[in-house]
Amino acid sequence: MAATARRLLPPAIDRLDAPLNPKPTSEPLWLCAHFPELALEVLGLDLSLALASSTISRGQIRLHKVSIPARQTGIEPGMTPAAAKALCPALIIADRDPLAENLALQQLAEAALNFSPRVNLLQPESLLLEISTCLSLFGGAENLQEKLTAALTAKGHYPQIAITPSATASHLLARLNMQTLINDRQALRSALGPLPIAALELDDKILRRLLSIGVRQLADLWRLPRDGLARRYGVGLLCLLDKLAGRQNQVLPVFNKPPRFHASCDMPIELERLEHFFPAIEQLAEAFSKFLLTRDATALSISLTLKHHSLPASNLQLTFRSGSRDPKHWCKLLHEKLERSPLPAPVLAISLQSQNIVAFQPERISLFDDDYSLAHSAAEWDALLDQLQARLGQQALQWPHTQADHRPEHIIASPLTRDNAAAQLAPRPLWLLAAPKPLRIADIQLLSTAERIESGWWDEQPIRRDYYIAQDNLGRKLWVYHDLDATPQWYLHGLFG
Amino acid sequence: MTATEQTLEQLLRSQAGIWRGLRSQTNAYPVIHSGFSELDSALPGGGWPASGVLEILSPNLGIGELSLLLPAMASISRAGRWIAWIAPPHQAYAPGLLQANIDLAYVLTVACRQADDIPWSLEKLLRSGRCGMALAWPKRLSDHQTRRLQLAAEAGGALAVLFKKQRNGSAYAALSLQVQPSANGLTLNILKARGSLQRESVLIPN
Repeated sequence: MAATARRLLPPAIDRLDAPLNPKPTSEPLWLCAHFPELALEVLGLDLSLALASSTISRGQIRLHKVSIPARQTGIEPGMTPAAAKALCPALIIADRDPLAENLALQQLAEAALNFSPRVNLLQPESLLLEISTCLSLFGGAENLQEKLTAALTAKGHYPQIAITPSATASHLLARLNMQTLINDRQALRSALGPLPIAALELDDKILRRLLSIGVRQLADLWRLPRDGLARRYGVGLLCLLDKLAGRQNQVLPVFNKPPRFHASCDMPIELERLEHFFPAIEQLAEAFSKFLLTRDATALSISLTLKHHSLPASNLQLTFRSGSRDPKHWCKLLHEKLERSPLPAPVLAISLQSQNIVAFQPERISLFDDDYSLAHSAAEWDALLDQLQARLGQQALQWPHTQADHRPEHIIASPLTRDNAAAQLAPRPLWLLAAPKPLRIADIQLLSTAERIESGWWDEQPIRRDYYIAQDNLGRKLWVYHDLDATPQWYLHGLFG
Repeated sequence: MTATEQTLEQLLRSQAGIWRGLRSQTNAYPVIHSGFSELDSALPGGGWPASGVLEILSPNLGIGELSLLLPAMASISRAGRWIAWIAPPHQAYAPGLLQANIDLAYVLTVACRQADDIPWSLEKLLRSGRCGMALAWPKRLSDHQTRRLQLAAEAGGALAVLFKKQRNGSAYAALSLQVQPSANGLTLNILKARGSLQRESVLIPN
């Protein structure tokens, strides 16, 4: 579910001119993209040089992957670095970086998600895509393969692609660099037949036994009776053969990554006025909204970056109370923000990002009550609060609530904690002063008896106070206390309003 | 009273624009009961106007002007409409509100950094239709802005309460009150009430 929109407009899909490939069967079609050089590509070195990556196997350093120029000098994977250096003194040996390989493969999988919803990463250095459901969208398997190759190559990795009705066969053929497109299972059998059984990565013992009875190719194996094969060489081999022939349906776990959106737009010249560059923001918002619609998702936040010449970029953050995919609402909020905060310099480029994307939650509408208008106005109320927050700041809106604590300052809490015990307390004021104000007892007249509040020994902020209701000569009803700790002093803490 | 007179009476009552003398009992607009019977009988219609601008002039903060509104706030919040406090001069204290039977789930405070954000937020909230009452303590408000608030409040069916120190010629408020502390309670002077020429003084005991 991830994609990176590099340009404003999504790439046009030439659906009309491509011949529709009618494929009525519901047979799966697996595309495997294998990246033989991935381990070398992620090292960031020039592949036209003699290169090798090394890894530790069985306690010794061995070569893992070798670039084509190095291979031409006779270097093979599995050699020790010293032996390889003797063959080719100019060889560059770098440590293998499995983490970077994994990351690169994930990025490739993200790109592949634009082509099929079912991508998985089970095999090392390969992506498996189930494409039977996407063929008519891309106008046939050849077109899809072409576009996928272009998309993957753009990321700097060169795939070998094979398409067959079986995932295992696709992987095998891609690994052997036999770039084929096979549509049905009969053709797959004949294509796999001449392959040597050594390519199957079988157990050494089984392989030797098979070779000793004269089985050289897959076709030889297929000719043997199934029950005898299972009895002599185990069910595993039979399973593998069935998987290869596409006779066994495979359900593979699907690669899933939280979707992200990133789109940017360069200005033709530096633009200073809001009304000049705002249409570009509207366009980006429109593209993002389309992105969300195709994924049936909504955004919880948006970040807008405005780039300037030789000055740090300006950043605008928007967060929404509930998932939103309405570009008009975003534009309203962004316009509000931009109008009120002057930019330090003219704008060169604009980019819009969002990582906080969640599944779309439709409004819950009761089947029987006619409270549709209520649900609708709830969404409007959320939009209004978003608007207030966009102009006044994230902290501007607060919801007064209480929690169980005796100390007057600590009883106010976030709306998450709910406790209505405060109703049983002695009368409490409507206003609380942020900082208690010292006052003289001579200026006020006490109206009530003392209410002792002594609490908070557990968190280093203990208090010991006597609270009174009092009145001053202005006619105000006050909530005052006499501090019993430290220097005894009277303070004004609240107003009854 | 004949049937014709009754119809005429009904017709006159239903029209807010017809002035029927000093002791007019017209209740053409919806009201919220203030919770104080003396005050209800003095106010035209028998309560605070449900939509419009209410101006409360009080010489000092905390003499009891906010307590006048607590019963109305409780009934509004219990009806599931929001009460917005815009740029309150101090922190609104939740336990106090709870003791006044206000549903805290419908209380919202809005902090404004700039003075011109106050009328803007007020107008937005009043117009939304989900807000039943919005309270503000503006330092300065032009007649033009009060007029806008009045229109927004009517559009959203909300009561805007403006607490001011003194009157500065805003003729647009639906109701204007002056409160004064006195020896045994709070004295209220009705300075202006839409739909009535009654000018009464009410004493609310402590």
